[in-house]
Amino acid sequence: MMRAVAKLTTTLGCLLCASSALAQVPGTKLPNGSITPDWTGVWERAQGIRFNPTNELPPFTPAYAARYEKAMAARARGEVIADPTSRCLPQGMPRFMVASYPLEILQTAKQVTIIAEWSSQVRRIFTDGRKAPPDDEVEITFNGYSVGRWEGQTLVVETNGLRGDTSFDATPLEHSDQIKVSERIRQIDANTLEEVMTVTDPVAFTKPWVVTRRFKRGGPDLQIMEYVCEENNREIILPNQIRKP
Amino acid sequence: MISLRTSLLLCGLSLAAPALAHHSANMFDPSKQVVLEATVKEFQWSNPHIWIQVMVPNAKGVEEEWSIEGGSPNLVGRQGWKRNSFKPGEKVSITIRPLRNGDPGGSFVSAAFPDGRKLGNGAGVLPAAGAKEAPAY
Repeated sequence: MMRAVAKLTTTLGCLLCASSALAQVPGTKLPNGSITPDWTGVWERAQGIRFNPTNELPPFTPAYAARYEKAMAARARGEVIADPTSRCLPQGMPRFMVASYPLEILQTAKQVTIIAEWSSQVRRIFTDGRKAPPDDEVEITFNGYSVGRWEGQTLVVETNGLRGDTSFDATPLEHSDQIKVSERIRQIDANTLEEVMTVTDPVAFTKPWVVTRRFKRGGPDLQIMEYVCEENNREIILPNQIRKP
Repeated sequence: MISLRTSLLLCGLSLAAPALAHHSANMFDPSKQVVLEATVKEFQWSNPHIWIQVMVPNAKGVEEEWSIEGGSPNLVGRQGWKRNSFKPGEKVSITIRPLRNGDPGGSFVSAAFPDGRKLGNGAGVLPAAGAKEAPAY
C-alpha cells in the first residue's frame, strides 16, 4: 500500500513537472541571462500585400515620384509592368517582411532565422553582438546584412547591404541602392507580432518612411510548404519588356 | 455549338480574393467574365501558379486549348484544393477573367462540376473587382 502511494506520488510529481515545463514559454536565454520572448513558429501577415497597410506612399523625392506616376499611368493603360519576382527573383528586404505567404521564425541565442515560404527564402538576423560590415564593404544582397539586438522584449534589427533593384510590393514603388531598414519587432498579445519598419533612402526619399505591419500566429495545422518559383513559371516578364494590352 | 458565354460584371461581386503571388494581373481583363464549358486536358499543380489546361469548342465547333491560371498550390491548397482536383477528361464549367489580348486563356474565378462539386475563387490571379488589395503580385 505504501509502495503504491509512493508510486502514485512520483507519477503525479512527474506529471506536474511535465505540465509546468510545457506551460513555460521557453524563449531564448541570452548570454546576459535575460530571457527573450519565444516567437518560434509559423506566422501569417495580418494585412494585405501592399508594403504599407495604410496604402500611403513613401516620401518620394520629385524624381522618384515622377517615376512612380509614369509607371502607374502605364498600368492604368493596361500595360504589364515588370516586377522582378515575375522572373522568380527573390522579393528581397524589406518586401520579405510583407509575408505574402507565411513566415517561420526560428530562434537561437546567437541568431534569429526567418524562413519565407514564398520562394523558400531565408533571412539571418545575427544577435551575437557583431557589428555589420561598413556600407562600402558589405556584400550587396537581396536580403541584406541584418544585425539584431534584444532591447528588453523587443527585437531591434538594422539591415544594410541591400540591392537597389527590388520593389516594396507589386506596385511600382521603387527605391535606390542607398536603402537601409531598421525594424522593431515586439509581441503585442499572445498571438500577434507588431513590426515597425523605418526605411531610409537618401536618394529616393525626402525623409524616413515608417511602416507598421502585424503578423498573426499560425494555427496548429499551418506548416511551411515548398515553393519553387522556377518550377513552372509561364509568365516571365523581363524588366525591359512592356506588354501592351 | 458555341459554348462560350461572355458577360460583363459589375463591381463589388463577392469574390473576396486573397493575396496572390508572383506577377502582375494586368494581362487579364477585370471587367469581364467568361464561362467555359470545358473538358479538362491537364492540371498543372505547380508553382508559382497552378494551370488548368482545358479543351473548349470554338464558334465553329473546333476544339481549342485554353490555359487557365490560378494561385499557387500554397494558396489554393490551404483552401481545400488537391493536386487531383481537376482530372483529365472531366467535364467542368469554368468561369475566368479572360486575357485582354484575346488569346485563349484567363484567370481562374470558379469551377462547377457536373456532380455539384464547386471550387471557389481564391485561386484567381485578380482580386475582387473594386477590392483594395493591390491588383498584382
